[in-house]
Amino acid sequence: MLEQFFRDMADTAQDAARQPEFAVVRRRGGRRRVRRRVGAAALAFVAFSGLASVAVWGTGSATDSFTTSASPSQPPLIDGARILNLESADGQHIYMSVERCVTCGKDLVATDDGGKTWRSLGDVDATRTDVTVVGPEVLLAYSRTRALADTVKKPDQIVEGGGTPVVSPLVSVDGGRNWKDVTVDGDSVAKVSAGMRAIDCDSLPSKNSCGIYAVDPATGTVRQTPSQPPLDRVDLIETPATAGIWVRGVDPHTDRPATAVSHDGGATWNVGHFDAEPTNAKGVQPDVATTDGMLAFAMFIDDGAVRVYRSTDSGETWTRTNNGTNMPDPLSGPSSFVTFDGTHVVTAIDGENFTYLASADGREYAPLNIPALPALGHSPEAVTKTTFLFNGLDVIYTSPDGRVWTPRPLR
Amino acid sequence: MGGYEEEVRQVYLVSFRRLVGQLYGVTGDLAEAEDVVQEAFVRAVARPRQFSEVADHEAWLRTVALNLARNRFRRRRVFDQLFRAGRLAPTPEAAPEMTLDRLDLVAALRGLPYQVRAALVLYHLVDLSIDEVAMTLGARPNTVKSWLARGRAALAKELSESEAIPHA
Repeated sequence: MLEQFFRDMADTAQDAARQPEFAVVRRRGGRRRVRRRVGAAALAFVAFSGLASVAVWGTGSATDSFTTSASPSQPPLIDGARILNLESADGQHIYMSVERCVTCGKDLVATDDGGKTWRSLGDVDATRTDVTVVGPEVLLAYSRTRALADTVKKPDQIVEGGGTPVVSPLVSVDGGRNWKDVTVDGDSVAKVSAGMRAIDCDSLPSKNSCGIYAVDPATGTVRQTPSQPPLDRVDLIETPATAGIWVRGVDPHTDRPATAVSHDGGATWNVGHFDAEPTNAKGVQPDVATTDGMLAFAMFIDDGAVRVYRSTDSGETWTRTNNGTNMPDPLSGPSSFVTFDGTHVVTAIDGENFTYLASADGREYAPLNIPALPALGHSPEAVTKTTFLFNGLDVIYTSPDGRVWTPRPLR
Repeated sequence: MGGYEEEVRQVYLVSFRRLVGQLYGVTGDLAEAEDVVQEAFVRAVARPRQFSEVADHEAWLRTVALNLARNRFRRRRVFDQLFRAGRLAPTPEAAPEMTLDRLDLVAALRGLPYQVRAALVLYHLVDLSIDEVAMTLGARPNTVKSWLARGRAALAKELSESEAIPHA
């Protein structure tokens, strides 16, 4: 079992680790404190002298703004409640996995009115605490077991283990009030309905073949889409439902990464290639962000090196805009988002703090302060063209454009 | 020693080695794992009060150490280019004494992209859920699932030659 290998490896390293006396760490920490105070004093002097310009959204352009992030690198976990996952298909029906304390299990909670009131989905089987939101009131709940035990279902990625079988997912078409086992109809196909997202085999019992599937919003029945994207190793990209169905994968002819997009519910697909990328031996795939389904950015992050591509034609052609040399700070994660006005915003690490970087065209990225929105290392997400969500760990934030944000504390 | 610093010291005694074991899976280099974990503790000591307010100290330290490790990967690419150009001699990686199949696993892990490696360690070793791995790495849950599937497949392929993964 892979878990056992990891444990053995970690145990061996743990036993061999050389742990200095705490006094060594303490001395280094003391020196760091002094450096920080000196640095803060210098920054204050520069700001006072008028040599530093501070711009925020709404008062300056994304690319020429400069600021330092005041956000802590890791916020205190206030009163235990912590949002692990936040999903919505329309901005009104929002579903969250919440951990009430460090050692507590997870709860599922939902709102039907954009966060004014909340209800618990606690009746769903307690082991199924990972949720995929497919439509405003259509969701799947499933459990990821410790899973080398799982059979990885994609044909070229079979890993057989032993142990606990995968728990079959449940589906709800009424916002999580009622649940039933997922039924996959293998004898017919269906387009993805308007306002719904596609799912892939990751969300289905392992006996089903891989591909892109549609969920019937009335019955919850799952069917394959009329055609499948002509790529190998396909993964769904999370986008607003109105942006179409976006997948990434590998072109079977070139073995290079590619995207495929459908704007007709999975009946036809347009393929876009990343011909300058190396063949996909390591499985490096781009993280793709789009809000309107036409303008998109793709980032390849390979051992810390970043390459950015931009498309203005719904992923049919990709133009490389940045090879990472213009990123002022290392990224903190692969996820990014595109604001209503087309600015690409990525998360990064500015020294000890998380921060945001933004670019209007994917070429030059500059630090960016977003008022009222903390930088916590992960990205806000576009839910529709005019609804953006951010997981603030104990608060959710909403925005109509990705620029102006409002905190909505949990009730 | 103040109350806050004493709290950091207690965590240091309990968690340092465990974190090194976890970070070794990500860095593949024992000395580097020790270094990033120690640096994470240095940052905690530099801000002991803020550290005290964090509910899960070990998770905070792990996140900081992972970020440090990731930044070093970026810098290391420059050195790798110098090594290849023959302008610098590579430093041998520090490794604890292990059996060959364990070393195979470490070598296979090192061949994976950073995020894939980190996701595998957080999920299979640290025992975090998909959502928690996603939060730690700043990724979406579906992205994490994809990394895990790719990582497991790559490891299975790499290790099948030595029959390192027993089949059920």
